[in-house]
Amino acid sequence: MSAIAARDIWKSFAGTAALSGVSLALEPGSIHALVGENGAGKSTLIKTLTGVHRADRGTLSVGGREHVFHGPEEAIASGVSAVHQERNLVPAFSVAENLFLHAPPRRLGFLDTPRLYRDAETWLRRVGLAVSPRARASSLSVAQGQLLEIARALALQAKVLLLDEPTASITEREAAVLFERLRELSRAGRAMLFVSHKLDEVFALCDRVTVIRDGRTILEAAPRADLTQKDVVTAMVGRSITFGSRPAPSTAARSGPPRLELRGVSTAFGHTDINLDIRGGEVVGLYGLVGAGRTELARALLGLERITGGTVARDGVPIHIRDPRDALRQHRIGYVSEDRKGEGLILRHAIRHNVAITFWDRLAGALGFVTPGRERRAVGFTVERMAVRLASLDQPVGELSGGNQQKISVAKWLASDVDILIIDEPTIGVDVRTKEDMYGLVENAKTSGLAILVITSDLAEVIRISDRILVMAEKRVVHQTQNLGDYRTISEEILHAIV
Amino acid sequence: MPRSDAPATTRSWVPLLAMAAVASAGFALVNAQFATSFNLYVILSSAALLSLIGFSQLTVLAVGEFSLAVGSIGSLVGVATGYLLVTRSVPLAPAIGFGLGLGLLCGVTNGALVAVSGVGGFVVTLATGGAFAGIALAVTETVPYTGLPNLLNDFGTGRLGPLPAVLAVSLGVALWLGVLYGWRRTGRTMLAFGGNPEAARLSGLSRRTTLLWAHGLSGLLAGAAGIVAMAQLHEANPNAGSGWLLQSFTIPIVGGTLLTGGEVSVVGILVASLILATISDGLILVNVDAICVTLVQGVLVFVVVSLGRSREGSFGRWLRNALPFMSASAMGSQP
Repeated sequence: MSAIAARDIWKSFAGTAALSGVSLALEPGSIHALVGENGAGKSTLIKTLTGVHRADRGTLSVGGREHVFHGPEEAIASGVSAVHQERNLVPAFSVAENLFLHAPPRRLGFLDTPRLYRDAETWLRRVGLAVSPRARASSLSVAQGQLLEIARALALQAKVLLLDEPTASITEREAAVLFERLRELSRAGRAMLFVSHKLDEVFALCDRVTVIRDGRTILEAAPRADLTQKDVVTAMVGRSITFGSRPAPSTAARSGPPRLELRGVSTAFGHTDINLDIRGGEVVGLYGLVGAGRTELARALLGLERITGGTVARDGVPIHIRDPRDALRQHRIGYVSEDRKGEGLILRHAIRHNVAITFWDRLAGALGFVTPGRERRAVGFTVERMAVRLASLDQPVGELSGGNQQKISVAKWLASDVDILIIDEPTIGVDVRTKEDMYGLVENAKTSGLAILVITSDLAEVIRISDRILVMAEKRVVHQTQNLGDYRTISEEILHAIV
Repeated sequence: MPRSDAPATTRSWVPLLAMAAVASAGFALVNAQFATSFNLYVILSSAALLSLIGFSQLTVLAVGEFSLAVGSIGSLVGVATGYLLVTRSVPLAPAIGFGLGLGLLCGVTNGALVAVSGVGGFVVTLATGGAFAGIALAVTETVPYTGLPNLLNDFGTGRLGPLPAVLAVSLGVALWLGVLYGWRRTGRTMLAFGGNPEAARLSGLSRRTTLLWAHGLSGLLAGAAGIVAMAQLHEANPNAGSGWLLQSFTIPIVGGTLLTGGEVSVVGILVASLILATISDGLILVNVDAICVTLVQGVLVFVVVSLGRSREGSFGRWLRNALPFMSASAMGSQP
């Protein structure tokens, strides 16, 4: 009997169908993959299974009995828990309290703090998370937060565990640890749903695969052994796509000063002796594990934290960047944040608004008016070139799927005509096709002469798009190599440098 | 960005406390009246009222909401209680009970409106606050009720040495809120909602209950502040709460409560009230114009907030460098 089964689920939002007849059944002791492009309906399906959304049509049964969930608490009571895509921890609370947010242990009506910490230890050990139960959740890394959320789901006595892209922002090594835990849980009889864009992971971890496309089930619970990655991709996109391989060779001029050069730079974040140079028409990949200090380096470059030593030079001239505005206006450096919802986009504003925000002053007419028409004309070309799936440029960015939002946050900088572009984790939470689109985009920008720094924790990605690769660990550049495109040798070289 | 483990905000009043101590020493030197037992009583009784006003805002800030109705609920409760006592000759205890109940009811109404309408507390209380204040003015026809029972007046201005009797209310509430936010599930749930509403909702906690609690408590405490103000003034004045709005934000901000929700500092409210009361009192004693007192309070808020945000703001960074003795205690940890 299935641990949970959804049959013929329909759900639409404001007239737009998100799910049009999806079926999914999870068996105890099995890890089931749910795969689909951005916007295919995966997150909606999970939210329907956990009572966050109510299906318009279709039935849901848990352990053979039909259920209608009116809210997350009812799903939880039936043993169905989800670890959602967004981090759902209360930053100011302790690890232990986040773990028992739903029902902290109490005695005589008061929180039983000693028991809270004691009980937390058990669950933390269960998922192999070695942090103090007293630590604040805000001090955890993304991967630790992920494990904490899984521990929370377990503490809820979940028999069914739904994991929405748990590996989107953690490193391969952390993912390997996570998978080991998931396998143990599966052996202990839990039913698990694993959503990921990384097909390697799906094939390494899961025993069944369901593919959905445009809100419909394309492949239902196919045994993994019968599938190849190519089958899955074909099912996802409805046609075969070719994986792009190596980047076009760099057209960077070898002579003259680099577009951007760091010599012996140290920062208030704790970076020491950072040397880095990027030339126009070149993509430099900055690879490292989460916490290596890559994003922090980018933030220091933008003037968000003090540079305490060394020189930063643009075209051979030493510069001092005061703040992001200065970086953009004076030095034409753009930064695409890894946190697109938090820092990249204004979700409630129109697409045209979001793209044009970096060059409003150039758009302004005689009297300083930025009219919608001007905006549309200025951004239309860039947005079109990026193949963003949208209804109109006036649509709020928040209505787009994750991958398309990511495209918009890159488009904004490309349209603003910068010379140097720093892209932080360009393909976080993005499906295979969007990924390729994004790489194409980076390559186009490179061909047009931009100097590009790509920060990524995805090994395949850094090898796929960089001309040169820098490896960062513990706030130092520990290795630098020309990318010759041979995945095996380069990946070994890089991992060696880190260990 | 690397984050320190310790909440930087909750201790942002530590340097202010030092500053207040220095200022107090200054006041004491300039004016001999400052360091008297009577003046201490004056400061403490105004701090007691300020803290209740601050607590009333704190309970909504905890869940990430605002209330603009603190002052008008205070006025309304004061007037309603005064009406019962003076016009209807209702005994003291039931009158106060009714007053507090009315405050609670006003707050719960706000909470219910926020929960049902989906409109934020700021807007809802902007509307209801106007209504409550209007009712208070209409009931009294803008003339305060005087001739309150002696017991109430004695409580309002009575003292034990330098300690005002009303301080007991303030400390009692502080203790209660401290326990609520520290060790009670209801309080923790409110903070969870303030810290991450989505996480709280997905954990199966009820947004509706939380909003009712937060606004209800706020109304109750605003009512308590209204009754204390009435007792201190010896009259039920429909304008008693008209100046509370800004104070209700100043005190939590200075005390280190986050405007974004999720973190409160109950002790911070007490300290901030004491500091603000001391400074106003001192300035008045050394004959500074009343307008300047408000100005100084404004500057204080700015300084405190800048210190708390010194990572990002250049002013705060400058201030931190200019006042190195403050940085260690103010920031908890250095970058």
